[in-house]
Amino acid sequence: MTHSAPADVALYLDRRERTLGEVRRLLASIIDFKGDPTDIDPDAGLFGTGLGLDSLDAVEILVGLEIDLGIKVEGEDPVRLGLRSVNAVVDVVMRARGELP
Amino acid sequence: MSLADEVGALRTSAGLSRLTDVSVVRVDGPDALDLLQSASTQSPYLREGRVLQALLLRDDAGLLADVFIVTADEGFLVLAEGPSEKELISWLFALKDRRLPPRQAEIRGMSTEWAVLGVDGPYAWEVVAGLLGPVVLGMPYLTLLRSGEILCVRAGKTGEYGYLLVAPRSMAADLEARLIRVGFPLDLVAVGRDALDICALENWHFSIRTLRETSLGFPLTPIELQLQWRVIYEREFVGVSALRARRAAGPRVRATCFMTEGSIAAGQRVQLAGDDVGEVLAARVSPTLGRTIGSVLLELPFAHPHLTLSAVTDAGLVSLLTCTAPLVDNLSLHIDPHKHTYATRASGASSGEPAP
Repeated sequence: MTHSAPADVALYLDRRERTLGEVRRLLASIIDFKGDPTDIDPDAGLFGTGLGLDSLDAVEILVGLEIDLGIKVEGEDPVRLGLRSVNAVVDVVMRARGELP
Repeated sequence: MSLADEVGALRTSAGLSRLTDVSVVRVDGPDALDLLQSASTQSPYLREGRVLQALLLRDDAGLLADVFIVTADEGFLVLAEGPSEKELISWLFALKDRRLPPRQAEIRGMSTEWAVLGVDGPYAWEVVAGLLGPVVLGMPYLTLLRSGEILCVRAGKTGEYGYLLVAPRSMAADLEARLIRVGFPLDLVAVGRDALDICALENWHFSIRTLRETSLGFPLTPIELQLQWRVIYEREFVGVSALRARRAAGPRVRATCFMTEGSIAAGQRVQLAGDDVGEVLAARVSPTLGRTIGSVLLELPFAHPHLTLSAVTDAGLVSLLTCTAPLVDNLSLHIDPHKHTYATRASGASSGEPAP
């Protein structure tokens, strides 16, 4: 980091980066991503453009969130739940952990 | 019709656009596929009826064009945003001759012969189906439908249903008139590039028109622009060496979505707690959200949503909030072409609301 952020911001950024890593690894396993998970852009869309996930992948995301990350999301349709991008999934995880500002 | 009206139509009914800035280039010949393989960030080896969304890069990995590639008879059509048709043809010719012996490919600009119309919006499918028939309703994203001399590409960069109609220029006026007639009961509105670009920004769809020279001293690549999903690093194509080098070195900045209640312009510096952390890449007023939205290039550690930053403007510091994209909950996500119609839409149906 080239600049020092205020302590609360630095803590948030640290947690954000960690959770982004967790979500990237989860998505990489679902789409059988051969590259480095860090190549998955945070604002990449999940469905349609972006990662191009389908409805089966959507179910896997919800299952993966619960099993791998311990986050239970009520509902069945990730799109209607707002899970439309990688960052949106990160938000859901951080919100459940009480880590969103 | 105001810009806000045009954006409103794109978010609630449908908009019709003349995409005169889209370059249409045809590539034929025994080495056409090989030429496009070496040009495109993804393989244009396409199954019949599929459409490829890819990028063309310069040698330094900076973006040359944002393209759709479709198969057409024995060759390919490249629909490109970014370069003029003349620039794109010149670039492809240079690439053709870069290999020895030169590739055998015929490259022809088609814009004098073909016109491109766009139909976008949550009920765009109903407009296009009124013209081409119900087969449109079942078109998956990034697929191609041929109807006589008309090519219909299901694409779109607004977050809503979107179609590109490519037709001989001799048919274009009639095609447009028919679309207007079919679209009249659906409140179809003529929209311009500005409205389409604002919708793209609201949905974090890339628009090559937002690119500008920055203070970074190097071109922005798919890495900084969050377009790596359009790149296959294992392939060989123009710019891949520079792109791999950038990736290996680690990116310094990343484009991040923001919104603000204030007034912000592209090029302004952005601070966090008084420290310079980035630069505004694009900023537009969103009629849908009633505030300024945009893209800011932030140093990588800060390129995350939910940060309150300050843009340095002539009027002083203006607060902005980085956000998770997309910014709107698209009405198209709640519409099923097999169940709904514009005429029977729910009154007061939600559209363009902030994303949940």
